Amino acid sequence: MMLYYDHLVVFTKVEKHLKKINVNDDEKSEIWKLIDEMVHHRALTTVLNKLPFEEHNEFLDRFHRAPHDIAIIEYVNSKVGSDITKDLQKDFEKLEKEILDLLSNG
Amino acid sequence: MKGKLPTQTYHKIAKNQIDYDVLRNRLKLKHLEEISTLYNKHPHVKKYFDYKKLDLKNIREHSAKIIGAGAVFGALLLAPPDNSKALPTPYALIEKLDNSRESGLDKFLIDTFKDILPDKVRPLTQGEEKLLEQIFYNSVGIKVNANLEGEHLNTTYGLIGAEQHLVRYPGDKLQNHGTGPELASGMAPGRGAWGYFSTNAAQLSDDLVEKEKWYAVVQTLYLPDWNTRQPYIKNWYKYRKVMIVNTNNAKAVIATVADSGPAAWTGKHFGGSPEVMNYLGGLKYKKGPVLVFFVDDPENKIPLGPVEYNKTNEYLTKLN
Repeated sequence: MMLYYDHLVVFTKVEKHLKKINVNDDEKSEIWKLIDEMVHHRALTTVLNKLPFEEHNEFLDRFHRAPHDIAIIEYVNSKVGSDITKDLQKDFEKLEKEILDLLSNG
Repeated sequence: MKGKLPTQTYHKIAKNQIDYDVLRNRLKLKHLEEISTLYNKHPHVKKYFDYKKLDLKNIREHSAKIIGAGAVFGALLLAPPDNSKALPTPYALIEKLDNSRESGLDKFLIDTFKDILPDKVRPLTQGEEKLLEQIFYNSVGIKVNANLEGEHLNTTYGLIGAEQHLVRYPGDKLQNHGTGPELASGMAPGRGAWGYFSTNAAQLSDDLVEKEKWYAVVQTLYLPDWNTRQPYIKNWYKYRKVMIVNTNNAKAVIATVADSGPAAWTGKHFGGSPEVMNYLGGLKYKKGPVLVFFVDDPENKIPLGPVEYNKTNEYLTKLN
């Protein structure tokens, strides 16, 4: 929606877990933002790990110019020769699990 | 004195506080780890963002500004989104509306949404929003705006998710929220973004009861100027009246904004109280596409709750 990968990020389990915690609005916002920023960094790492180095600048330019542009996915797919959404989904699922571990442990 | 003394319960408060601090610290460490992973492996990315004066943590604000500029100048300067549809002319819509007397207004709206809206939710163009404003005013009789007094949500077409009841005053309990099936949704442990609705049960007016019953959640925290225009913008959004329309069945409710959210990583863009969600899609309705527009109702004449299509003339009389 606001970022080209937003529709791939659905952390239902993390959401359910956090809904049980009694925090004030500032605390809630801080937790949400920390998780959101982790997603941004993970998404970039996933894409750049796949994308040939010579394409990095073009990708970053596109991302900077229109971070919401869903066409970025098609552009990346054409350069990596596979469907990047599958890699992103896989890594987002992994990230959700890692966050859940942090939320659940003792 | 009923209940336990504060000296017998303080340790529970301290425990909650520690839980939050521990949680935040753990997340902060993980957050730093994610940053290090990216920039250690791809140091040129850090240089790129530094050169562009963009911090990745502000990417949503950056994106919202770009989308906002695109919506305003879209018709003149920028190409429409790839998945936008050719909009019908107002004449064609009026004719269709006139012909819908028999088939029903809801069918007219469902068909029109199919003609106008993209297949997947996204921020709408200014042209799409203006057309929808006209459609709602002419069919439902309620004056709604995507942009009201210069304020605009990051999106007017997104996914709504089910929320719980909100605590209205200190000591409020779920059983105080009526007897309907919506009680099964439970009550959120914390307060809404605007705090308690009243200081105590005695101060809770019928108006405030309605506000909690028919409340909406919008992503104020991701507005591009949320941090720079305080406290004005927070006050502007408090109990702001919105119309929420389920685009699959055209059911609509008038609600007030009473909490901020949901988080972007939930895959949702709006939230609705148990009553809002029940009306929009039934008790099992947990997530779905909706339109959310501000209601232009400075004299507070449009009541909260379900929009009844057979009352179109009544709404128009109230507004005029």
